[in-house]
Amino acid sequence: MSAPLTISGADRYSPEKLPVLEQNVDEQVANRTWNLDANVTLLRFYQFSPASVKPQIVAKILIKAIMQAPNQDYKCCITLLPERLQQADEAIYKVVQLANALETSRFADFWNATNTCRDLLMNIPGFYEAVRGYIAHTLVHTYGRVTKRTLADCLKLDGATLDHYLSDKCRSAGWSIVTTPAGDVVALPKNDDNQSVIKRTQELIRFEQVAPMFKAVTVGF
Amino acid sequence: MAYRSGYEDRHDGFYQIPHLVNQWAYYFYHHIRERNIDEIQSMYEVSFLKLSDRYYKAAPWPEVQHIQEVVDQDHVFCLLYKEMYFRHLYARCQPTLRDRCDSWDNYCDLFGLLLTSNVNMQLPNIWLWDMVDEFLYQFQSFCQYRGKVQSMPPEEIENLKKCEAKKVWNTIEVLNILQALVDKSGIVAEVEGDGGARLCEQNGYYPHSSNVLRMLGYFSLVGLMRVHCLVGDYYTALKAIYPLNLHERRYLFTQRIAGAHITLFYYGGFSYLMQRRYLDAVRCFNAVLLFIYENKSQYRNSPQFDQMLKKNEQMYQLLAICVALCPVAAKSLDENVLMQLRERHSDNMTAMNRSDIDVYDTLFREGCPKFVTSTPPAYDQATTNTNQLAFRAQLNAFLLEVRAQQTLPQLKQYLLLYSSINLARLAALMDCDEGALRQQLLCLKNKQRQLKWDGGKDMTAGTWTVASDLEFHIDVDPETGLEMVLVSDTQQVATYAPFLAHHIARFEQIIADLTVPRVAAAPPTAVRA
Repeated sequence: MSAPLTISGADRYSPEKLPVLEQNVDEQVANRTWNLDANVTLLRFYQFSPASVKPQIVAKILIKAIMQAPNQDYKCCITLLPERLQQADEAIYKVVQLANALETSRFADFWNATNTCRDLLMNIPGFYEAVRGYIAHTLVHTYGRVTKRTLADCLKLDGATLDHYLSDKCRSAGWSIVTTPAGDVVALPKNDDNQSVIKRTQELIRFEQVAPMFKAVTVGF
Repeated sequence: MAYRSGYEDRHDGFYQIPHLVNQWAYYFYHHIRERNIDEIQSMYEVSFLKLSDRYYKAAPWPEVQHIQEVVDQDHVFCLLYKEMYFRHLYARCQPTLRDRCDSWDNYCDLFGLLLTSNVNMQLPNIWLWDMVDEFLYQFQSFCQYRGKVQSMPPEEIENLKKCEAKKVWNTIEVLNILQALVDKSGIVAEVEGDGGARLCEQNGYYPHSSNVLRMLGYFSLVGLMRVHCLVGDYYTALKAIYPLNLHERRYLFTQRIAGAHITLFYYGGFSYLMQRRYLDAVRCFNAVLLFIYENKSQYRNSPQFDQMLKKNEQMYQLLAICVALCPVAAKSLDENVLMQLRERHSDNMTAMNRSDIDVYDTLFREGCPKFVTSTPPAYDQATTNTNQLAFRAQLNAFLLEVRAQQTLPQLKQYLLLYSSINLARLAALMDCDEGALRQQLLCLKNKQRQLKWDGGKDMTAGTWTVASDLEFHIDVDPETGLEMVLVSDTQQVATYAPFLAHHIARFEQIIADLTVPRVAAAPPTAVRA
């Protein structure tokens, strides 16, 4: 595996780099890596010379960007694309819908949308794991305990695959299954966001706040 | 050559230049040769404007060939003079395509000369900043101009196509020029080494060397950030200003030049805003709005004052947007800035809290930079004004983010009323189904988390922080299986210390001012108020 491509300084503005950057995208897809600098440079060149745009590469970049969630890398990429391109090319349009659904946590819409571009997504190894990782991350920060039904809907897993996923998470990520009269409930690992924390902010008077007053107070001593 | 009315005497070879203008050119040239920085600055800032107002209020200055004899036909001075000539032309008259092309050629010649040969002159820093600023302003102006294809006569379109072929005001060329200035000046290594301390100490004027390339390199960093913002590339905009640091400003040289400082923070704050990093954006805007507030009086008579006020207004609009989208950020605002914000935008903020998209739209429209459509329009299919394309793309990206949060303020209002509430009941109150409610709660949680810069040299780095005054989570009651939304109870203990300390300091200051001993030479009849 070659060293990651670094783009800095004048490299950013030399159009001769275009083939190198395009090849780099395919390498990122194959090796499951991500290089925001290189991809943003490529998208910028595409904006400056629309004749050389290759929509399938743009689609790949956007899909890889979605996989970086919760990082806002997708946002950095999408503002570089002219709207005409977003609407004209079918693949890009579908990816944009995917990203919008994921960003607003509309997971049901998201999974429906993935069905329409399954062949596109199958070509990007690691997509489904990355997305499920992000969804799990959102759930962990919102729910202390979540019903199995909700979990299944959000992750779009069922039956045996769901059980396999859960047992995996229980082993590695500290999840646990609690059986209740109303059905199975998954207890998610505790963190700052999914617990009741009563914060009593104590007033601490620091020395720096009081120091300027000493001069006035100690005059005359 | 474009003929302007009132200058018919130009081309029959007999052109009378006022004596004062000749004198100005003569002395200006000699001061530059002798490196008298103060004189140069005074002639550049004051005399040039006075002569412009007196003789050339709405007309261009004499063309360079008319003053050439007075300045020994010096090549470098002529390039510098033409730079000022075009700047004046753009400001007071309407530039033609010919003017735009000539100005581009002049910039290429001037920057080319400064990059390749070793110039020994010292020029005022303010002039060097104005050069970069004007260069980018003319770039934006050209992109706006060529977008209006439908109102151009066919010959003009032909000429425009020829210019495009010669890469006049081409975006990549502009970027390459700026990058070349940065690289050749070695400014990155210099500022990296000592954080910019030496630059600040000596004000950029190192003895026995020229400050021109160094300062042009420094200001080009800000220029690069500006161009990246104008094409919608916010990530590289923040990366491009390395090694300047927006948050640790001790050795930030731009504080000496108001225009540079304001530009740097305006585009910096805007880049953070578009990446949903509202805490960082507010930090940038706060710093610069405070700077303007404290230094406004100094610049009241300078020609940049109007521009300062305009940017001030724009930044308050963007600040209002940030605070509406992330209310917690208001806590880090200075009280003067907060007070000004409330004065100007309290109505708008109430409307935005009710998720009024039109207000967001208006504020964004007025506060955002003039985005650039970086490619020429299709000249043969002249149907619409293509200038709006770039702007609309950014506006729509922004509004998408706003719409994602549209229902959230209402949800927050409900959550603030309860310490715990059954999910089904909350869904009924909000008049939506449970699935939609779960989605909104997840969305609210997601939007509360954002990246915040917390140290280091990379302006794009940061850690995930929760930026919210409302903390909640969802839990399932193990006995009944009911889903409950639990809102955390944060008890705020009132902090008196900062408030008291601040007011004690202010009163001390007032008392100190009042007890200053009266000047001995004051006339005895002075009446004490």
